Amino acid sequence: MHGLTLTLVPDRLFALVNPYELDGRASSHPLSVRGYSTLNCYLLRGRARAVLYGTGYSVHEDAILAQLSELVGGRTLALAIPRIEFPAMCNARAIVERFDVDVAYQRLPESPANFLNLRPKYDVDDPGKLRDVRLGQIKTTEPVTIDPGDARRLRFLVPHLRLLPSNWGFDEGTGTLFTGDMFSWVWRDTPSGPWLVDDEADDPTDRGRVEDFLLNNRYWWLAGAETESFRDAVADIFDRYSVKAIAPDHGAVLTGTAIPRHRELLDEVLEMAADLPATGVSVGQRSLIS
Amino acid sequence: MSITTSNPLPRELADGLYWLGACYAVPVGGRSLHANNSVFLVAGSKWSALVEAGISWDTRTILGQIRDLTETRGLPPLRYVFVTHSEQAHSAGVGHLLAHHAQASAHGDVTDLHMVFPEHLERMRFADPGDRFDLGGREILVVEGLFRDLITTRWFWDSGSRALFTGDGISYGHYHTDSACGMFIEEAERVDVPQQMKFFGVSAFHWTKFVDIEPYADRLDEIVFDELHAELVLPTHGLPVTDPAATMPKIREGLIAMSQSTRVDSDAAFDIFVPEDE
Repeated sequence: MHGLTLTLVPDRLFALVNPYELDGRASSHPLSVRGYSTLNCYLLRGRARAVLYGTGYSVHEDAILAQLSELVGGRTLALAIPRIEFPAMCNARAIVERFDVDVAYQRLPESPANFLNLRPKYDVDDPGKLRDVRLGQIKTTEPVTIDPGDARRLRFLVPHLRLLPSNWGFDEGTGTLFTGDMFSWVWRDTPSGPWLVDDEADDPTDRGRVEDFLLNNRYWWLAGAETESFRDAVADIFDRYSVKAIAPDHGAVLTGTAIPRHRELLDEVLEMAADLPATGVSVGQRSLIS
Repeated sequence: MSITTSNPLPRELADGLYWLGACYAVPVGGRSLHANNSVFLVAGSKWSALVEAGISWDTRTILGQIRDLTETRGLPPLRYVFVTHSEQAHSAGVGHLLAHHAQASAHGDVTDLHMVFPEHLERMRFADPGDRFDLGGREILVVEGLFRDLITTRWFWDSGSRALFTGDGISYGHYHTDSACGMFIEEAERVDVPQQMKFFGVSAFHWTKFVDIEPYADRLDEIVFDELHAELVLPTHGLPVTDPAATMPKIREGLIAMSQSTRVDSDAAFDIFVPEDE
């Protein structure tokens, strides 16, 4: 499976899209789903600097390094690690060893040398160039400036609708909302995508898919839960920010009329979930083996 | 955040059962708050096993503790690494552990790990409740993951020590001034379990504020007291429970407190264990 680089905003924002098979082994989707999704990293490129939002799974290392080689040029990189899960961090060390990286913005206040040196291909006692990477604490009150002196900033949000400790991001320069594991529900029959959805045509997503994606996986707890506050919080984000693209960690990037459509799908599922019987105790007894 | 310099671990919790890892300290409101990402070593007569694989910054410590215990106690080779779920704090050590222990394989909730540690693709397997793994004279039983991050979470049971490993279930820290590092919760009189669980819930278990937590608390009591008759309850992020009859009521109180804590959608939500009033 080959990776794909999507130019979301010329010269400024790129999606590094790398597919993987949904074969019952990925935590991003219900184990019963079959097809393909992607792990997306995003490069926010300025004149002298760039921010890489997420570093991807190890299995995509070669593809991501090649994609970055085409895009980074002589720029200094910052890494943004907005989740404490593997999709955000597996290739941090490989990227640091290849490119000029000076800071890693993390949720956990631990040095990148200790936190990100997890791959067995590297010496556990030697963090290599991670040693020279500064910790940047992710804070909602301290947006990251892509280029010094530039007005373009990457702002971090704490989404009310979340499972694990994680952040969303908003690129003020392009109007792109980075949503982590939310809005990650566009999957395909083939790894070739398409991985950009801008209208209803060729979008396989319906309410049933969103419901399956959320309630049979990471958001199992929404069934029977109080969900009104989540509906309000999602609406509030879209009221506060002029969102021109939704950029999830997995699956297609959403633009154009796909944005209100997918917001509506989420809202419908949240509304409906509150009236469902809670399944939180019994889901732990489900089989993992298909 | 830092690993504490004076580490009382490893500690033998029961015959052939060892608590590995280290406290890490977080400055909170002028105080030093400690928590664990614990790993447990279970030794049978033929094989040893780990329950949990640890967070990345503990990997060197865990590898050293296994090596030292194996040499000084004459433990059998590591054959199994049981993973409750594929979050970094529970499974980041899988790659190095399998690389250092050639006979070992990982079992449990190994979602995503084929993409994280592809070099060990053939050595990672899902396990379901009821699956059993023989260590010689004792076995590890896979148990339903009751309280969880990921829907695929698994808990484990050691028949030899009657210990239930609960992963994220029952998470709490302790203040440095509680002098509780390396202690059982029953030895650490200053630790306020319900309050600490509430702090942890704000940071890590946001979902608990929106559900009815009582069914989880009821099922936990069923598992511990009625079905397994557990003598030890061993959370990954808390001190070992060695007297379930005395301590589980506090745990229940903590679960309720967690579910009743205030919604926090700011950076404070992630200042691990930060009390809401700080």
